[in-house]
Amino acid sequence: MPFAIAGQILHVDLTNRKTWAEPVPEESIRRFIGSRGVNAKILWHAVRPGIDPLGLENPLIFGTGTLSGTFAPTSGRTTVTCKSPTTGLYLKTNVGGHWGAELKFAGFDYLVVHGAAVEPVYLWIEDGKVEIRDARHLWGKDVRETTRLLHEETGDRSVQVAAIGQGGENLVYFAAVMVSVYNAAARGGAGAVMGSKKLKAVAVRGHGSIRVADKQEFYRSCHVAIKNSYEDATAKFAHLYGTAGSVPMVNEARAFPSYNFRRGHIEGAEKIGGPYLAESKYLKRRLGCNACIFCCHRYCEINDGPWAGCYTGGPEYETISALGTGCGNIDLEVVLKANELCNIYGLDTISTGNLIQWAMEGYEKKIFTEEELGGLTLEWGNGKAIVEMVRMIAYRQGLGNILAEGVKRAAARIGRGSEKWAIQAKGLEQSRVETRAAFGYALAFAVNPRGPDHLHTETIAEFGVRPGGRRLIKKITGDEKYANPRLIEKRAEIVRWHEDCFAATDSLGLCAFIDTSRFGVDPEQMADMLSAAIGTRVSEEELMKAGRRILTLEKCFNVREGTTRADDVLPWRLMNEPLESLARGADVQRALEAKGSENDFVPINSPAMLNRMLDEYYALHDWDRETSWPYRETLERLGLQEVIPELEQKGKIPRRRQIPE
Amino acid sequence: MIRVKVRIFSRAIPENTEVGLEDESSVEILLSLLRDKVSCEGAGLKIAFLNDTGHMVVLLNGQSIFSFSGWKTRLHDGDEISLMPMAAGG
Repeated sequence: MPFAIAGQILHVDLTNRKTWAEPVPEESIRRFIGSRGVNAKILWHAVRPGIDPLGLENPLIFGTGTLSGTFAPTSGRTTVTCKSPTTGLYLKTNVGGHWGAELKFAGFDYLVVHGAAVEPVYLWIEDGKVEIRDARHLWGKDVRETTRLLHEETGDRSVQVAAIGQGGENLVYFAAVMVSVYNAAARGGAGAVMGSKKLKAVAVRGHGSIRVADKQEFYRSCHVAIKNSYEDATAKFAHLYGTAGSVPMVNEARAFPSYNFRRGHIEGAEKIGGPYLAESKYLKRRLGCNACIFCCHRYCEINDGPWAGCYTGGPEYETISALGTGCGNIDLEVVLKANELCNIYGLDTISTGNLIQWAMEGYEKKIFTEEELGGLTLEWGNGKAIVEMVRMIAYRQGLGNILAEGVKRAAARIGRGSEKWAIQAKGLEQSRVETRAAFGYALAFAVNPRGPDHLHTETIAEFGVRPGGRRLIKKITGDEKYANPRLIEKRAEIVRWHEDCFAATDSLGLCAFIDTSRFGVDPEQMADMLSAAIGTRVSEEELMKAGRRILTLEKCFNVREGTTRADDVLPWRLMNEPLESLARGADVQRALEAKGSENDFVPINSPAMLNRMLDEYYALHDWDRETSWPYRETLERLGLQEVIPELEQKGKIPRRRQIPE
Repeated sequence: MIRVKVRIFSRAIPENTEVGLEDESSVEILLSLLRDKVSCEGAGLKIAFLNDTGHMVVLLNGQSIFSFSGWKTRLHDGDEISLMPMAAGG
């Protein structure tokens, strides 16, 4: 048995009802680390460009981390990879809970689901064996009920379940795959891909174990990581307040997305933040993913009032902005109820909130017909409407049927100017970061292969509010002064380091919050843990290079699908409208015309500013400036020769341009 | 003499207060003034919070004080300062 991994990739063909396993190639781990990285390689080879993401040819790949199933701190993360229905591009979506570790204990590191079943099925995986079982009795049930029924059926409450709810069944373009009930592989519509396969759930039970090569060194390196993590300044607040703890700070910074990114501040937003939640009657438990040492997840209940009976995991910071302030709402109970429904129906809260906000702005601007509204009143802050919209989206009822297509398609369908307030790029709804006040994030969002969100880099360090973050910025750029989100300088360097680190972190199965949101653990420590686990020395440099290799492969997938530099943009509103709350006295016109001086902060992601950062970013990556495509030598240097023939055949290997005399 | 607005998040709902300072006072001086005020009133949670500068985010007009001169940053009349726990993640 190999070290650190179980050693097997499980394939399930739902069309032909066949299953088989193959060994995990050793070179896959060496080159792509695990999880997200190995998933990307599998997806590259399994997919032809142009396939229908909801068709038979799109595989759904679950990849566990190479450190998952051990006690490496925060090693409980799993990546789900496929072609996204919402963007038509590369999708990786990451999730916590306990399913990944259980899959490894059951003898498999990867699960690749091919084709589609005719009638609903679920997979039962136990100790090296897999069965395709009838799930018609589960179809139509929410994620919580499905999990409960599977526990009953298998007679074992330790069974870990990954499932879709009504969202995935109804092919909502932002449906999530839910794991251990409340953990979401949320973004990009992987739940819809699972629904298109009529795959209701994957239930796993494993009684095996994982062994590491050098137990003593592994123990030592893990404890260094734990000790350093606890010494980071934010560790205790991660546990006390969760990601929701960020709410007051972002609101005070006047950069808390509210009213569909029209405003950056809501008076009283602290009433739906993490500290308030911690002091309230709602927070009942703090939970963690497998092997987590922070336990930043929340579990809440409402026991009285109009939403009595609500009980749910969450809310996270993103959810609070998406279903709260983004909709002009600061009623915490509404956020909890809407979050509960997103969880049990299996919907991404970020996208769901984005769609509701788009609809509310459309309602304000009176663009919908009476027939389209069907009696709905969508004033900003209408809590009942927010909750009702979640239901209508999950079941594709009325206006919900249009919203279920994602905001890009919904705006294209409705028109009437609504494209301007569709907060999306590449077809994915932007996550709740005000990129007009954080330029490192702005660049990262524009280049993220799956669309504009923070789970490609998480450049929190650029805010300069934390000592660990300032040290990291100094390490990357040479000077702490660049820990300032309003600067354009050095954003490319900051984004590139974070990309490499994030890809390596995801692929190890570690949580992004161990090294880009908190600063206790660095790539050197991660390399130490990996080396001791697999029994081969991996240096920090090799680990980061593997991270670079992974994200370059992800980029190549998109290039093969037809993307160019023109796709590396941000939503129209953020590129054309300044953020009001920070725009006092700012020279917006000069910023749009690129006439502003470098030192003038203007709260807008103007094309000129974005283009400057993109030029620097592509140059750092050694990708062609005009197309954004990697050069042949870049791919060769990274050991990605396998992608060159196909890209070349399609004319997607750029020639180096001659510099004019 | 300058007057600055301070929002202290030692509890979830912030306490809003206005403080008078000598011209050219720094953030450091403001913080020690706030501590002195509290010790007269004896609020344990608040004094613990104000002493815990290693775990505190300080924003000056919405920006980290470390975008300026850190604890030595000079304050001006009308400045708004927010003091919060050092939360993380998004």
